[in-house]
Amino acid sequence: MGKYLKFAGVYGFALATALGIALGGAWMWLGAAVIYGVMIVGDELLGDDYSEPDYRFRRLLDSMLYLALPVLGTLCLVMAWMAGTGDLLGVGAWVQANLGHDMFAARDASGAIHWVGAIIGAGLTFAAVGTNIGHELTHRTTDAGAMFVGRWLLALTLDAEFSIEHVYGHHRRLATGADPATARRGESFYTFLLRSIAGQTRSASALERGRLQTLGHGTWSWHNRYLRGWLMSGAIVAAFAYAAGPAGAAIFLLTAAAGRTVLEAVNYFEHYGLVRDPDEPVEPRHSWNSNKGLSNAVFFNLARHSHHHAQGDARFWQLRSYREAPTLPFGYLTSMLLVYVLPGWYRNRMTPLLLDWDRRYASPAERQLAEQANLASGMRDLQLATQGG
Amino acid sequence: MLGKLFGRRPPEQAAVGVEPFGWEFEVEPGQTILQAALARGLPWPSRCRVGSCATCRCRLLEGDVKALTDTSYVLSREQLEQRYILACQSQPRGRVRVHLERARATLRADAPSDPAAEQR
Repeated sequence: MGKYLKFAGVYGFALATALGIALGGAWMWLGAAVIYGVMIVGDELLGDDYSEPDYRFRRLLDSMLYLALPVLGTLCLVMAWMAGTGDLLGVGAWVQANLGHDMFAARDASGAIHWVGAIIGAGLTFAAVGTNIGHELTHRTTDAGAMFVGRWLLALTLDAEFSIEHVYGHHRRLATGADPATARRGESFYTFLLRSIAGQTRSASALERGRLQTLGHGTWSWHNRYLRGWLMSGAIVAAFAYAAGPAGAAIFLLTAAAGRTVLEAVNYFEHYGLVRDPDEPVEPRHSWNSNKGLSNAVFFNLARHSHHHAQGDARFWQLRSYREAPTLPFGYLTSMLLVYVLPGWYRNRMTPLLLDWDRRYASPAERQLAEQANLASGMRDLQLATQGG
Repeated sequence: MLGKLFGRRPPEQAAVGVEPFGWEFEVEPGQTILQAALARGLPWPSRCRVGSCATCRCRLLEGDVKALTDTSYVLSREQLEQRYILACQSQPRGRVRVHLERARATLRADAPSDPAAEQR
């Protein structure tokens, strides 16, 4: 049973986040503290998990994905209530009567510094539950129900277009200069963040326009999934504004931005510095893989990224460990924190791994691309290794 | 849902005949044409394998396939009208015949060379 239940762990984090926000004051930091604390310590202590179990109860696995919608709906309700002024949907009175907790007092005790914690925690939850599960579901392009739920989950981080760009852009251009979501050697996370977001939205829009042309529909039509995605996000902003005024809308937008930043950090370290000859197939070597047990349990095996890109239609429970693939030195939340706080240190930490990749994994054509990337990286150790060799 | 159930149990063994190479191979339930071809070591061209690069495209001459993705992002209108499909996103319903423009000219550069891969 454990092999199933481990994937429910992420909902524990969502619960801690919602609970902390409802408790108000310093408790609003609970979600962020629990997620970073448990993940960083847990990945170190528990280490790698190479198991590849067979799963019989696939409905159960799928139901754990769809649980995301009610859970995030509840989190949004708590956030909107705490950001507002009245008693939205009578939640405050109900909680007072049934649970004995005074949410009105909790709201009054919450200042800006507390809301910063709430936004960081809720942003992590939007990404871990919303973006990650939205990613899994929108790879199932012929399953209308999965696409519908997946796109709404992505819309929470203003990114329903991810369902277009990721599948038809990123997976095709992976690890080439044409992919906005592949970080270049020497590129700082914050430079990448802006380039990636701008590049992905341009690409999604262009891909959608191409599809509409193929099908003979106009750009300004209801068939346009790119525009519909923005309308979905707009509807969520409007719902927050209606429920909790401008402050509610602002808190939602900041949380969405925090969640999107989490996605881009993951994009950054999943392929940092890797190169591919565009004429050759995508192989496991074109992703930084991780078999950290906790990261994979919480992110539905996303960290088994080498297999995901080599076979994008594989379900999360089918992803294999590929322990021979290039491997990230840290778990997902550890990598994320380093990328945010010590971006330069992280790049230096990855330099020997990249040079090892060039030697052991790269094809001859890729070795040339890697040399060019090293020279252009602006990083002394990469340049020296290239010139010296 | 029903379609999915029936799709998994085709009335006859799914199989592919490939023009002009004369390749014939069977496809297991749940497998795509590309997966079956690569499992047999055939030099079928492919890159992304998720239905986004169209490198594995071929033209359906006979029979029917179940398409796993929306090919309108990657194939042109002319190609769709000519019944082009993506091998990596197509599960044959029974026996099908397809036309492949060319086999992979070069194998992965780090793989040992294979004369069968050089034919075009």
